[in-house]
Amino acid sequence: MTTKQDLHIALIGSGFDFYAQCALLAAELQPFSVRISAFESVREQPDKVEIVGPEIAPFCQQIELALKTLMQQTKAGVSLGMQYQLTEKSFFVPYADYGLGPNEEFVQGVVKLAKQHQDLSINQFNLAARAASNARFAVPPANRTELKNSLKFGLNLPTKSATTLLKQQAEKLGVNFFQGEAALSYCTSNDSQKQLDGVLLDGQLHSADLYLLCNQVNGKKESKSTWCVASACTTIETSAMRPYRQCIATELGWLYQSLYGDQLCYQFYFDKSSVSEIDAAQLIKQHSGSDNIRFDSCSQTQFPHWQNNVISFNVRQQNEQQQCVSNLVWLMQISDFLSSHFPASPNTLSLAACFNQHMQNIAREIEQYYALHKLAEVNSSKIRSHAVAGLYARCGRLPQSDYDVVSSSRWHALLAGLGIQPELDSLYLQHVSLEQLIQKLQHLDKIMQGIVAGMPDYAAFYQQLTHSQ
Amino acid sequence: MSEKMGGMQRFKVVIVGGGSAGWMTAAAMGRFLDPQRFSIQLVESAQIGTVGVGEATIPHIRQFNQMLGIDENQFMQATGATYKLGIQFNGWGSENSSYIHPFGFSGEDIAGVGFHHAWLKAKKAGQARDFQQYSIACQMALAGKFQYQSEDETSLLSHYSYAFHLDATQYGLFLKQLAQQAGVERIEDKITSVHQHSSGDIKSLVLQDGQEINGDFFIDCSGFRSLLVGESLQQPFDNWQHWLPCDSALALATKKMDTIVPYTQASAHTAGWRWRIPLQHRTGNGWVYASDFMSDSSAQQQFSEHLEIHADKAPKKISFVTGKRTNSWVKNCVAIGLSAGFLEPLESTSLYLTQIAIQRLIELFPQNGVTDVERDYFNRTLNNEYLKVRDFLILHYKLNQRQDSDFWRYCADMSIPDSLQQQMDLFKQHACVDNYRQGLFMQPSWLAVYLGQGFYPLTDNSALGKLSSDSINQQLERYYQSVQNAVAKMPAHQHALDATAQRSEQSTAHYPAVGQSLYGRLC
Repeated sequence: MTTKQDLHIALIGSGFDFYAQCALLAAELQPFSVRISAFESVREQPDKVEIVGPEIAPFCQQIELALKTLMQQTKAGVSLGMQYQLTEKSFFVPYADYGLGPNEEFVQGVVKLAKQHQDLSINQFNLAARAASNARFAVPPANRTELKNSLKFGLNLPTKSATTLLKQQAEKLGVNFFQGEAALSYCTSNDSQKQLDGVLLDGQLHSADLYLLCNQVNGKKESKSTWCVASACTTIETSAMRPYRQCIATELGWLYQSLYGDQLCYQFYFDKSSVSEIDAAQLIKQHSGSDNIRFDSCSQTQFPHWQNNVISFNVRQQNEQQQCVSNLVWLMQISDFLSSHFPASPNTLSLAACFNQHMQNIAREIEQYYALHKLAEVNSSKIRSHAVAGLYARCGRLPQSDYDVVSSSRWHALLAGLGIQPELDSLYLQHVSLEQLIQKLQHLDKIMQGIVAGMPDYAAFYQQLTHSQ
Repeated sequence: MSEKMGGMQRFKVVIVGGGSAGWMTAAAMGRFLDPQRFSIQLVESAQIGTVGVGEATIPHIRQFNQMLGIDENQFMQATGATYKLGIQFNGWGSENSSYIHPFGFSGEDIAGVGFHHAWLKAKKAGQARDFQQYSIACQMALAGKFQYQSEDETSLLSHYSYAFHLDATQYGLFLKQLAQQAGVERIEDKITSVHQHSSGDIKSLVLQDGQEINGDFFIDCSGFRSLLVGESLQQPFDNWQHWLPCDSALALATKKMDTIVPYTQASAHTAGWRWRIPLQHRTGNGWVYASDFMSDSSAQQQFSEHLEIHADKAPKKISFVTGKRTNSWVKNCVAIGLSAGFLEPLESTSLYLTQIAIQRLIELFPQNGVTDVERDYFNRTLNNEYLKVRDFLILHYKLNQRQDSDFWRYCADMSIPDSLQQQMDLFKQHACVDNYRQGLFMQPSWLAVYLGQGFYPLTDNSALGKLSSDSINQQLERYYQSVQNAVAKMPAHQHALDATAQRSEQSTAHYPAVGQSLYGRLC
């Protein structure tokens, strides 16, 4: 066996995802002999909102940053899930689990009962959904572990302040930053594959064992897309603050609404070949009242890919899929892979093939959820042709997941929201009568009612959080 | 087709075959199908024998028993079961090698880095003990000790799990009683023909006495014959014999061992391997071989020479083809157990594959007629389960270092599935195991076999570069000592069996909750 010391990893990029990846890798690879260099293209951070799901809590834990600090310093908005306001239906998709504590057949039990009681909604038994509908919120105390998964939440983070904080944290974790417009220097290896030779900065070549390109397509030109996003933010009254995001159907398409601080931000994704910028701007203005509308181009998600000594992940541009699953999920998958498969020699086919296979599988899971999300306005027969929806509609089951990038509660809520009711009841509940189910759920309903009643209004929570710095 | 009960049409489920798979299925169906809506019949014939050898299991069997509401102590008494902490593989690496694949972890992370990295580094420096010396399950097994694992995840005593050695025939009878109590109707007869609808669905079974058994849904537990899915529905069989060349086995029970060990033994011989499964009342012995490399007479002779206990009876010969039906669920019929596929019992996966098929079937049960949705999903997930087990079994053969026979040379040289090749390459290059969540055998299992059979990575991956060799050695030694101390305090396996018998009489449960993992806690 040969020994190799101090693997050198270089990250090249800019923006929220770049700094998040720097901090994550530095934290995750701490136990190993790794040196991390970050080459940041200094760009003015746009006044945008970064939407992250409940993965933010483990992310903060990993990078040793207190979640409360992140929330306070960025004035982040809390999101317990997504409220869909569609043409013919409205429903809420929470991040959090149903029931209180683990119970595998819980949703099946509620669904079984709902068949007999049409007015029963599964969200009655989701603490987060109930808190959201009452505009209440509290971070579960550390000693109430049973509430941890019942109140999972995401954050809406202002890009500028979050980026600054993440960079500071990455520096604390030992990342060595270099500023300037770095150029990539390629060479051709023996097997005629292009290898990255180093990063050229101010005439100096910085070589590493493994490169992570966080905002650039590896050596290729980005394909032109006709998709773009129009966005604007507006100030709202504290009393109007809500701990969730919204997806609102309009005559032109879906408008997403998210809140941070007292800023309510609107995002509208559209295809320029069918909607003009003028119409998009008009739509945003109509809802936000703001004239200050920003247009950014969108790209299709290109999931992380490892080739030779380069992992590339084009995260710079936004796309609508990120409204469902944030880039942070990808970044955590990358760092998790690297720490659990810590590379002895990064330039090997076996590791890259394994990585690419995992990322492809993750992409499939995300794409399936996003596709169902986009089917929300479509008639039910088309929904049933969706693989996950089809299985759920028939048996009330979700396919086994390898990664859980989308929690089963989100799937259940979205499927229920779309009006899909499983045809078959769970046989595991064969011996549980409807009366027993009613009794159990009534008991749970009371407990949840008490917990929500004890929570502060979200506005009060926010005031307290931001004033207790 | 459906029969009426109290004015209500009942959906008819017909199970073919009454071996372990048949009665496991019947007991589960009996428990979870409402007798008001479903009728369940099981057709078996005493004239058709079951494979009926002693059976070694993996910890998932506890989950199945719990699902059926079975008291573990009573189950152990009824099936003559003993506890099992792993499998000892003798002669699979080099001829004289021996290692245990435990139901548990080996060591624990050091400074956030996987234990095996530390062990590899220490081994390179000539400072490490055998890998299995750091596994509490291995050490318990070798010391002949047993106690239930702790539910405190921070405790060393939570680093393992357990399964059973059991008498499969008795287990079948135990489940048969349970199933019949739940309303499953047993029909004793041979099936002479199978009738199909024009759609291809199975319509009925015609029995030797002329009776016709109609059904809405059929479960084929007919064993190797695969009467419904194989013979009637003509589902192709994917033959994996080129990767797993053993095709014959001799099985024979002998008297109980003087000291009942809490592990299965799988010892390699020149053209296959032999098993030894200790039960409370007898010992199960088997001789698995590849008929291309060893004649039946030679196998018989060598088997009897290797039996440590004299046997009066002749062994039972079992011939098999390794592989599986391309799809287990075809039309309105699902194959469970040997009728779905056969993988040799090297890793005791036979009852697991039956169990997982039953559990999946209950989740997807076609209560009002079959659709493609549940059938496709069932086939996809079961296929994945078989492939994961298949690769892991092939690994044992591929990694052998024996040069003493054509059989082992063939195994070492044979091509292997791409999925296994990728997994092995990853370990060779990076000392990593690519974990998955769907399917059996996680990192602790792969490591046990890799390192047990002398398959080491090419490169020290520098993972522990920050820690000095002294510090690593100290931590390894500390862990080893804590394992030794813990095992020294444990009762003997026989003592644990006696206590179980006592609890069974007193009907007191007193056993740990079922975990979801082979290793006591999740990886």
